[in-house]
Amino acid sequence: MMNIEKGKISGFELAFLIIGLIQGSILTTSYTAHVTSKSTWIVVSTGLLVVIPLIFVYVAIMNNFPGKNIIKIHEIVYGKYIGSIVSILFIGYLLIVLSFNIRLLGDFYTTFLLTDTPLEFFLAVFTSMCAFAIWKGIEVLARISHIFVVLGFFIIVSTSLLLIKEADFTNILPLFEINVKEIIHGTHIISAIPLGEVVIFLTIFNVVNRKDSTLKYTLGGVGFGALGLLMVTVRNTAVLGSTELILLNPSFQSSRLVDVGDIFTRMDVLIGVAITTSLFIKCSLFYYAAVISTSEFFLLKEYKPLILPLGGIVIIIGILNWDSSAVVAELAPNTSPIFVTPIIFFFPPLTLLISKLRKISLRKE
Amino acid sequence: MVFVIAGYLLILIFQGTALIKKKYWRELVVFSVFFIISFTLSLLYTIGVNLPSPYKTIGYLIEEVWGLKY
Repeated sequence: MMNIEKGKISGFELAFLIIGLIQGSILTTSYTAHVTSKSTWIVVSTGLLVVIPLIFVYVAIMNNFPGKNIIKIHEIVYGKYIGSIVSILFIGYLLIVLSFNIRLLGDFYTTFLLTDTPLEFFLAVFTSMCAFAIWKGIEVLARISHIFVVLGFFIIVSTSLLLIKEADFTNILPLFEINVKEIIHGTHIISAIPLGEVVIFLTIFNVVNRKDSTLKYTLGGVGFGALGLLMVTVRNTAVLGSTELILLNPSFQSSRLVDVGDIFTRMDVLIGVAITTSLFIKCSLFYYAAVISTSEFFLLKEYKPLILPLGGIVIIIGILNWDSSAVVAELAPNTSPIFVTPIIFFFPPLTLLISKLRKISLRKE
Repeated sequence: MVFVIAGYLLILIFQGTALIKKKYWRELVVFSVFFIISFTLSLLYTIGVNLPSPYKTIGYLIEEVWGLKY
């Protein structure tokens, strides 16, 4: 069967997409901070160490089945029926995480920026923007990611530098005041939510034009993405101290403290821009992966017919997800990592193991 | 509610006719199924029906039914 995505992206563009995906999780680092407090930077580092072997697994799967989407690989490895169940779980994961993230953006706008505008409006407009981007294809999304990732890094670095005066690095001390349970919990959150979401690239790796460089660029993308997360977590802890634990959005709140000679003040709008652009890349990638996977599942010739109906479903799920921030603050750090664990940590290694044991490979020697 | 119906009508005209013109029947069937689900959910939400939250349901299953929690 022919590939439903006609476009191709380079390894460099793949790396930018991965950085954009991880940058889109800046909002979710606050959930880790609620668990690990001033030691969040430690679990960002350990989370990265946990994810690196997984990346080798993801790339090995794609190298074993060049040009195939993960949905097709599930069918080849597990057979028609079990493969379909695993694929439905994968698509369900994509839709739930997508709805979670568009709701986060909606909540951000209704809480901090445009408080009188209805949530439904933001969700509909934002999802329409993402729908338009994926309608244009992965190549266009990859090209946009260059601008947005550079912009995101610029904003992270510039706000961090402008906050140097407010930062008190003794807030991070004592360095290892964290118990084993908190390390495991925090590492699980970081490896499952921002970094482990790289699993969605199992639907995109097959359009990378040079397969031999996929591993290098994926590792590079995850490394840079994790570096961005590390900078944000260290900055937030240094600037906000223990108040970080009671704030809804530490990055946004810390940027409100910028005051350089009464000229550079209230830089929160910059963080607003960074959150919007990075969530745009992240949600578009999840949306694209969900649409491509569903189209592949139903053996369609093209993915575009499903963009708008799936978008409508995701908007409604996003609205229904939670009715107050207290619900998400309780569920996100405690149950979300457990919910995504089978998709990120269990099925990909199992898929690789079964394909090796059954000696299934489409690779030309 | 008028906006929801108008929006979905536009999607139906724009996407449905394109698929019929191309004679993509399989795509038309799958599109129709997802379209009906999406339209029904939107309409129920708009008229104020209390729909369950998938995220909270998953949280309930994980925490209360399977007993998995940090």
